[in-house]
Amino acid sequence: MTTPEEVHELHKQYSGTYIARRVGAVLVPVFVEEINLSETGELLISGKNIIPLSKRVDLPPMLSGKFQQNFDLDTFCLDYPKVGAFPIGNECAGYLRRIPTRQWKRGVAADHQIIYNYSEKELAFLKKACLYKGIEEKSVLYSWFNPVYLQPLVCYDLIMSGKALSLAISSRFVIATKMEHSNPVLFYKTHIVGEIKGKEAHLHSSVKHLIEELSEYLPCKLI
Amino acid sequence: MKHKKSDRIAHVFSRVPNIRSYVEDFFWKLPSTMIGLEIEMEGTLNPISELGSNYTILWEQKEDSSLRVVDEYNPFEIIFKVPLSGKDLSEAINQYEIGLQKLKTPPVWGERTSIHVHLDVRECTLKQLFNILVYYTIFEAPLFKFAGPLRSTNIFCLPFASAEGRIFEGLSEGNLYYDDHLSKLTSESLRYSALSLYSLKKYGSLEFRHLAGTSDVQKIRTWINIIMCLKKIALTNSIKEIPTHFSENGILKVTEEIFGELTPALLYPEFNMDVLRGIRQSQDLLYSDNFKGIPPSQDLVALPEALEKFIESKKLLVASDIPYSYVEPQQGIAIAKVAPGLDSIEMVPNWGPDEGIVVLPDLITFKIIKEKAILHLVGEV
Repeated sequence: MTTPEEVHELHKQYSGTYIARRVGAVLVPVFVEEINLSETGELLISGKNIIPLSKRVDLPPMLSGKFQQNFDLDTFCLDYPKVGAFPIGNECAGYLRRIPTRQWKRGVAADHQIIYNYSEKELAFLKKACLYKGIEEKSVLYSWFNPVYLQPLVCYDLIMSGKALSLAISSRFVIATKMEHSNPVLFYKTHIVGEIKGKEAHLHSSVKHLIEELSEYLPCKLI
Repeated sequence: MKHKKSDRIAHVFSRVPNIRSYVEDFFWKLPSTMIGLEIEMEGTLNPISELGSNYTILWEQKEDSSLRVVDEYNPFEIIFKVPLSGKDLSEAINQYEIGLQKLKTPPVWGERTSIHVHLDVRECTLKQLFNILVYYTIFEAPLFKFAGPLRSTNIFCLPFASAEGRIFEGLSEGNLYYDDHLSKLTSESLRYSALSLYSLKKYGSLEFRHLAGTSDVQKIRTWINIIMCLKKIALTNSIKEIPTHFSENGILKVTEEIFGELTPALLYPEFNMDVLRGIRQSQDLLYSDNFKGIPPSQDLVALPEALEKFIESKKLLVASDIPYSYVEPQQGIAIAKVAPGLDSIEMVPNWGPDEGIVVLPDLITFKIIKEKAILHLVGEV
C-alpha cells in the first residue's frame, strides 16, 4: 500500500519525465503524465508508451499508446539509463549526458539531455536534435533504455560502406565518419582520439592509455 | 562591582569560546584532520537535546527545507558547531549515539535523509586535492555501495560515473590551476554532485554527500575513516603510476594498502569490475592537464619557425597554454599537418574558421579561439 504522501512525492519526481517499464526483456520508455492514488489505494499512472516505428514490442492492446492504469511500482525500472554513447538504430550514435545540477525530476527529462550526432558537429537538446536531424525521437528514447552495441567489425563495415555515419561500440567509444578525415575516426566520449586505417587503429599520442580498454572492443591492431 | 562569570579570555572579551581540545584520537585514520558532519533527521526529536543542555556544545540544530514533516515531527538537521578532529570528533559522535538510544521515537530514515561529511582540505595543495579526486573516482562505486541502497540514483548525490557533465568533464578537460576554471567547478549550481566541490569555496572542505541516514553509528565512524583514507593516501602517494600499480599488484592488494582493515567493508561480488571501471574513468583525470600542475608561461614556450610564420600569416595572437585533453570536435576544426622537421605547415582543405584546433603530431598542439592561437605543448619542441 502506498501512502498519499508517497504518491505525491512520486508525482513530483516523475511526472513530465521518461521512465522505463519492464515488458519482457525490453524496457519500454514511458512518458509519465500523472501519478495519483486510485480509489483502491493503488498507483494510478497515466502517460504514454514510447515505441519507435521500427520496433515491435508486444504489449497488451490496452497498454499501447496512451494509458491510464493501476500499476505496481515494481513494473517500472526507475534507474537512470546509462550515460555516454549509445546507438540510435544502426545508422548513427547519440550521446546521453547528465549534469549534477539540482534536478527536481528524477526521471529522464528531455530538456535536460544532450544528444550528440557524431557524424556532424551537433550538440543539442533531444527535441531540437531530432527535429533538425530528422531522427525519430521515439528511436532515441527507446535506444537510451535499450542500447544494443554492434560488434566493432560490423560497425566498421557499415561505416566504410556508407550505410552508417557513426556507430557506438560501447558507452565510451564511437566509430564515425568525419569530413576532415579520409578514414573512419575513433571517438572517446565526444573527443576524436584516433583514426582507423584498415586493420590498424592509430591513436593520438596523448591517449595511449586507452589502449587497455579499447583492446576489449577493437579487434584490430592499436597503435 | 560586577564580576565576570568566567575568566576565560573568550568570555572576558565576549568572543565565541573555542570548544576544541585538539587532542588526537588514533581511532581515526587522520587523528588531527578536521571533519564537519551534517545529519538530516525526520520523524523524531533532536537526539542531542535529549541528553540535556550540557551536551549541546559540539552540536547545533538547523532547519532543512529539503526534508518533510513525518509523524507530526518537524524535520531538522544536526551539525557540528565547528569542524572537529581527534577526541572531539569521537566525543561528538558518541553523544549522537547515546542521544539516539534515549529517543522515545526512533528516526525515520527515508530516502530524503542523508549524512554529509565535510573533509577539511585547507592545508592541501591543489595537487593533493586532485589526488583525492583521482582516488575517489577509482573507488566511487564501492563507496556508493557502502553508503546505502538507492544512493547512487539519488538526485542530490550524483556520482561522477553517471553524471559526468560539468564537474567531471571540467576536471578532466580543464586545469585547476586556472582561477576561473576552479571557480566554475566550485559553483553552487553543482553542489548536488555526490562529491561536492562547492564547499571548497564555502568552508575549504570536500563534501561527501553519499551516506544514507542511519542509526548505525559505527557505520558513520567507518565512513569517516574511509574518507580519511582517501586523503591520507593522496597526501603520501604519487598518483602518477596508479593504473600500473593496480595492474602489477592487483586491485585487492592496492585497496588494502589504501583502506587497510576497512577493506572488507567495501567488498562485494562486482568490486573488482567496478574498480577497474573506476581506474579507467580516473585516467581522464590522470592524463589531463591538472597533473602537469601550474601551466608554463608563454615566455617559456619557444615556437618553431614554421609555426611562427603560420601564426603571422593568419594574423593570430599567441596566448598562454590551454587545458587540453584530447582533440576536441569543436566548431570549425582545422587540422594542420606538419612536415618532418617543421619545415612547412600544410592545412587540410576545409580550413577557414576562426576557431579550431591545430594538431602537429607528437610535437605541439594549439587551439585557435577567435583570433588567438593558444599553445599547448605535447612533446619536445
